[in-house]
Amino acid sequence: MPEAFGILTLATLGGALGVVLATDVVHSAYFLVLAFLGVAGYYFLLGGEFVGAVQILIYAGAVAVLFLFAVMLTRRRADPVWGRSPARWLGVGGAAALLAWLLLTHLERHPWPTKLPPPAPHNTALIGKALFRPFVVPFEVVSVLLLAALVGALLLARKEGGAS
Amino acid sequence: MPSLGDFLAVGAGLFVLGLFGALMKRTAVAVLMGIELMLNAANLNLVAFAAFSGRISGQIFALFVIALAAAEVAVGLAILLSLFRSRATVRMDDIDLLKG
Repeated sequence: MPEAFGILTLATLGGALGVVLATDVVHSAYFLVLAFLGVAGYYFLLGGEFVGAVQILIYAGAVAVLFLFAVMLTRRRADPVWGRSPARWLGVGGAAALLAWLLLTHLERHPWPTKLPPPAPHNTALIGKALFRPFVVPFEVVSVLLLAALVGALLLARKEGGAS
Repeated sequence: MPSLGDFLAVGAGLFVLGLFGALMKRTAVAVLMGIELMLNAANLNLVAFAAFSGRISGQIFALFVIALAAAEVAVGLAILLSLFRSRATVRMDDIDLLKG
């Protein structure tokens, strides 16, 4: 278990670091897949098989392919993060470092539970029941939102003025 | 055995890296990637809290966030394509139409 956690941490944070530091946007997209798969591994480790499978399908599958298509359809240019101005490095880097310091010091101070309760045997069945009893209204709202996003994306990506 | 704090620390690291990427990158696609990393960090925290408290609601929330993020990426990339078609650029510093 600690070994799995270490490997997943390496994959997730390494992938995220690769997304930020890669010069080519395509390499960023591949590193993004690595980070997504690492997060899916955490979900499996925490006993959430369904969320882990959805993470792999939606994020590592659909979203990553969408990103690659967007890179393919637009112009590809080198985007090195070290080419930005020193003022931007100071501002953004300082803000990120400050946020990391604040979060990590406060996390360290709190006594977190170390013992994971035994995971429920039927994770997917529990999610289905929760989704269709107490969470049925948000579930339906999300379906309407997905439909609206589908129509909106089609409308935005279509050529203007043409019938096609 | 990793504690809840370890999972939250990984989530914090992921969020900070996503924030850094979203603010430092020039390409709009890379900025969207940074936003996705931040959403993933929040999801990781939700699932970790759900697992350690023995309740399922956190996982449901994570599922909703995944659905919303998928919709957001689809619309965001469609806007990007439309922008590229009209202005032939995807660099964030060239898109300053609203600048006074």
